[in-house]
Amino acid sequence: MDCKQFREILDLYVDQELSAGATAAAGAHVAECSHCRQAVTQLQLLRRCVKESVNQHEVPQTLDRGIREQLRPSRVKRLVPVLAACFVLFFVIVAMASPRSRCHLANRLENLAALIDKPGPIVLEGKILCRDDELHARYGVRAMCSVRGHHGALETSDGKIWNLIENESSQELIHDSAFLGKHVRIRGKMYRQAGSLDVDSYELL
Amino acid sequence: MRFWKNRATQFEKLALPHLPALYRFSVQVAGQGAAEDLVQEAIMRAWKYFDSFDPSTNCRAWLFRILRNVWITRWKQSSLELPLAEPEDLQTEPYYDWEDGFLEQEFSAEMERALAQLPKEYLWAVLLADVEEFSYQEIARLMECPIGTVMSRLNRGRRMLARFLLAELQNQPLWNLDSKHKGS
Repeated sequence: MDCKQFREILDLYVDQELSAGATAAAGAHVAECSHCRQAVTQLQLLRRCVKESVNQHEVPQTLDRGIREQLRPSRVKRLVPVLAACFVLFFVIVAMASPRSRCHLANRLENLAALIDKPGPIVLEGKILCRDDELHARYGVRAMCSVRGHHGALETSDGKIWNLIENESSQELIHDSAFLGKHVRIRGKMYRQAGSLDVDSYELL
Repeated sequence: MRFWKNRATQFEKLALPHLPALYRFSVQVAGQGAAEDLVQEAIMRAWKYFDSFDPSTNCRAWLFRILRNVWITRWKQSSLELPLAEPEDLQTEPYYDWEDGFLEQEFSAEMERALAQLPKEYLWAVLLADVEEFSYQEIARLMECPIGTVMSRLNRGRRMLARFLLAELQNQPLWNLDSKHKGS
């Protein structure tokens, strides 16, 4: 190895990044060449000086303390979100104990649903049943079906009963008892706040 | 709560011992004024993503990679371009052959000033190799560049640093030093 070749690998030699064979060859050259030995010494000194210069800075205590505090916030700080959640839950439970509050909340939710879901064309599937009979079965409402006849309505899979607005397309669904218990697909418009469907067309499933 | 406590304990054990190294490094690459903020942000980012850290790997290298990402993000926010002084983009450096025996002297302040003059990508490579003693492979991974680029940045960065240092010691502008070396 000559000086030119050695200078090309000087940094790798000092950084101990050469293979064992290359390190031995470079070492042999350094042993016999004073100029290259000087270059190795100077580069090693430069490395040491850089390290000493950089390492003279002390870490500010505020930085160390600040980071440790952020990793382990005080017990009170950790409990704040838990306490807030408990507080909210307590008020919800108290509020829900009153029937009036429950009704108020349900209405609010209905209004919210109506606000989110504007009236528009929809396709809805469900079962035709007698609205009054169903209300009687569910809530004990006095039904007049024996006098006035059945009144067809649509029950969707979520258990909601939709009134069908009287029009030409909905006549059979509302008044023909043969449709009771049948599954249908209805196209029309939904008026969520009134719980009503305006039927454009339907098909039996 | 216990999981949180264990996670914090683990993080304190693995990551926080490297805080001094991260801070000292940051002082060089970002300046004393910005170093605290830089380290704090890097450590908090490490804490956030600590679950993704593999404890069987080198935590120090992982932290320095995060530090570099934070530094790059900050640099982008404050500057239009990254300080990517690729060797091929720079003018040819005057030849320097370690012929001066000036390195036996004490020169902490001059070294600080010389380091501050290095292009940032050279500074990163030199500090990672000479202060943190990462291998070329680790530096390449950390700086997301080929290993050849690391060698080149180290080679040129160290020689440039020696020349800056010599100019600082002789208290003369670098162009004067250049003409002296060209003449010799």
